[in-house]
Amino acid sequence: MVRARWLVGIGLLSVFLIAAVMYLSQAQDSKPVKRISLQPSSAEVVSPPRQKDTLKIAVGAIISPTKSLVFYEDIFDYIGEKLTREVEMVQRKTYAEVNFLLEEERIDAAFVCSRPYVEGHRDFGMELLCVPMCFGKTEYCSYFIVHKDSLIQNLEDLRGKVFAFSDPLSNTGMLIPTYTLAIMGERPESFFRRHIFTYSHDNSIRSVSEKLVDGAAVDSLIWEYLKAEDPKWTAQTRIIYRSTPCGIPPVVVSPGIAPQLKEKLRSAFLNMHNDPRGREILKRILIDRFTVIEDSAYDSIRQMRAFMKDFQSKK
Amino acid sequence: MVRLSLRAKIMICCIGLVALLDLTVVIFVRRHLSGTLRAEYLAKGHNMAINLAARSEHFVLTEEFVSLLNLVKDLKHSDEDVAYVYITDRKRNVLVHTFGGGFPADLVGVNKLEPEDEWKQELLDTGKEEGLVHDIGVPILQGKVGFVHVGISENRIHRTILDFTLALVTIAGFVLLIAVVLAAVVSWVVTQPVRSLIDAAGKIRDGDLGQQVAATTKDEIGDLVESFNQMSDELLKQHKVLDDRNLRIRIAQEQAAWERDKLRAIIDSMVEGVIFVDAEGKISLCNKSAERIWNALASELLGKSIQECPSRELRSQLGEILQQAKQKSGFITTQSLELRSGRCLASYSTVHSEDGRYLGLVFLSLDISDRVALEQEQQLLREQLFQQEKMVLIGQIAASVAHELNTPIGTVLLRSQLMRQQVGDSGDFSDLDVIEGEAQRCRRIIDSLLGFSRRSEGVMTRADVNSLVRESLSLIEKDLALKGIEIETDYTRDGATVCVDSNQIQQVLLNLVTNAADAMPKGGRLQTATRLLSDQGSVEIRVIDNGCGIEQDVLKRAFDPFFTTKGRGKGTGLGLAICQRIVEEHKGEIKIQSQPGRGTTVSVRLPYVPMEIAANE
Repeated sequence: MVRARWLVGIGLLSVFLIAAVMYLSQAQDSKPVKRISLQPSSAEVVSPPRQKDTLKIAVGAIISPTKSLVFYEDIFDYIGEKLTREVEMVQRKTYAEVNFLLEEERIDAAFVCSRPYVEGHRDFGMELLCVPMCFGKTEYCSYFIVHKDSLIQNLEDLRGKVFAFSDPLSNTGMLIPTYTLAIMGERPESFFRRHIFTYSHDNSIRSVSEKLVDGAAVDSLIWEYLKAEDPKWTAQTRIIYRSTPCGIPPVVVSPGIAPQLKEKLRSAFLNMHNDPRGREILKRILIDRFTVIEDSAYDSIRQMRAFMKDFQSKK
Repeated sequence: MVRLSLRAKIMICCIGLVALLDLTVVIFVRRHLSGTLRAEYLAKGHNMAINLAARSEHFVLTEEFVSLLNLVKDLKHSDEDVAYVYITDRKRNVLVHTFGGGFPADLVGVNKLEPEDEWKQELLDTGKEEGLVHDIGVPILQGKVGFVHVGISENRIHRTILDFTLALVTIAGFVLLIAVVLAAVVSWVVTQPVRSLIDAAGKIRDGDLGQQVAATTKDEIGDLVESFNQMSDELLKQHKVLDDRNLRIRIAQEQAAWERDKLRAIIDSMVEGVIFVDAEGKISLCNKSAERIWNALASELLGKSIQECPSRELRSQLGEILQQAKQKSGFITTQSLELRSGRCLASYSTVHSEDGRYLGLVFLSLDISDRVALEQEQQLLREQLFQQEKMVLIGQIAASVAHELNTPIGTVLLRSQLMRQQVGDSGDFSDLDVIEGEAQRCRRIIDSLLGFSRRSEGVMTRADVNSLVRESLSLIEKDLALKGIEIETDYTRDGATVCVDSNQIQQVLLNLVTNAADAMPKGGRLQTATRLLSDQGSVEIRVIDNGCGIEQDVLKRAFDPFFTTKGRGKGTGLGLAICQRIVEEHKGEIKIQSQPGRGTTVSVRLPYVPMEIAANE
């Protein structure tokens, strides 16, 4: 009887120990492990060669690259479908880089800001393909925004504050505010305590709403779009000044583009609103449709540039 | 099965429990720690990857590879657990990575993310390079831009777990050590009363009663100790009572044994043979006298029924009596029995209990053989005394008569011879011859009487019996042959020598041979034989005839003086009496055995004197 009890005890202990060992060993290899080597391969991993018929369309840094991607990807997919070609979105940090790519014909088309168009058109014959029509207009303006809680009520109140421009080549983010200042006989360096470049309009809006800067000049289209899309940041801002309208940022092509492709591309854009899917995409990004306007629509910008040139040379 | 002490069991249980607890804790903590650490590493890697994805987003979009490279290198250097970092575009072409020599081919396609994946991880074994590596992949902007992969090495986890496990095992070992010490102390304390109990019990077992154990605790063991003490006291008391009782019993037993032995001794010392036959007919008591009388050992008798009794006489005797004894109450009888070994006086008495139940039969037997023999011997002695007195008296009378008659007979013979001379030769001498013949006969009778009564002191010399016999026979051979008697001799060759007066012995032998010849008037066969009876130290001479034999009543008187069966003038009746006297004077004996009509054997035994003793003399 005593022996049986001892045997049961030893048996239970053995079972426990075996279970413990199994538990421990199982903990080590809960998942199958893939055996690999981190030694560099003899042949460098090479990216597959880019397809020659890929249509490359750049997006100027009107808004931040991420926003641009979200904003434009459906249009690019749509265009790719219509042209039955793969469309690759190319982004660069500054307007100048995009203009350079267009000039060097490394890309086929681009969504650019109004002022880079004016300069590209002047420098290397950047061609206007079409423009979006937003809120029934093919014009836009610059909004001077401050934080909604700010005491700043007008332009004069911005004196001595910190101000954010978007891109040095930007129209609404740079040219219009400096032009406005110039009319007042001021320059950013003299009027503001400090000014920065955010290189995109959404960054400028966010900077104001986060009170990183006291004020900023942003693209009215972007502000409106963001207000409709996601008012988190725009709700924190207040518009204290609206500039005079000027030509809307266009879709341009490089001067060396094949005429057939240019026509196909233009046709695709212009007929987008006639296509149900295209219409849906346009509705989402608050574009009525694409249309064609004359180059003269950008003359006001050319005038502002000329004025600024004079103003800066006077100084 | 190994015998374990209580203390060892307690220690084994305590240490086993603590060891089990230690093991459980070590296993659980190690398992838990490794799980937690791995989860934290994964979380860290995940955070890094997400962060990198967010930061690299617009660099990928704007193809700023230098900035991207700086980002991944910064990340790699920021944490030693980061084994590698690489970023691909949405088509999974590697844009930047942290591998010095080039991107490893093995990593291509590893942990492939789908656009819908928020993140994904895969455990890779890189062998000795980085050990186990968790490849954590995170898409940049849902994979529209590209993918970030961060490799988190488990080396440090393993090192940490190993260090921690070592520390844990050390602590567990320390705890176990403490447990061992505590278990030793606790088991010692707990088993102390038990050991005291065992010691006390051992002493009690060895006979040292009245042991008391000090109760140190007030628990079950304390109760046990108290019960033990009470039990010990009670045991001591009972032991004393038992001792007294045993003493009394022993004394009583000794007394009983003494009584029994006394009775037994009495019974054994009884001259009477005592045999007790119980109610079942079995012999249950038997003393030594009974053994002797009935010629049987006690072991052969005790427990046996009468029918099994080895002594046939006892069996026949008792069987009959027993039947009577059972039938009659108070049966007592006495009888005299003739046994082979002698005579005995037997008495039987039944034994009954107080309530009259038959218990058995006591059979007493008294051996009276000795008494009878004694009586016979006394009778013989009386007869011999009478004979001797008679012989002495006869001798005295004979001597006196011979002496008184010798002179007148001499005178008669002398006168008759004178008368013859006076008559001369012409006279008739027939009457004178009768007178002279009768006077001579008287003189011979007187000589015999004188020979019988005279105790002559002869010359004792060593002699060979055979020679004695041979010489004696030679004197009478011719006479015997004339009477038609055939002589047979049977001499011993053992050198049967005796120291005797040869003349006297020859006289005896001649007398015996003459008697034998007289018993065979018509001739017959006379045998003489000698033999040495060395065991009895004697020499025997036998003279055997096949004559008429002697009647029993005659035989009894054969040695009486003047008793003769021969006719007048043929015997004086003194021959055998003189023979007997001569032989007895030589410390020998003479016996006659006879059967009427068949013959007589006379044997003379003389003391044997060996040659050398005789020579010394």
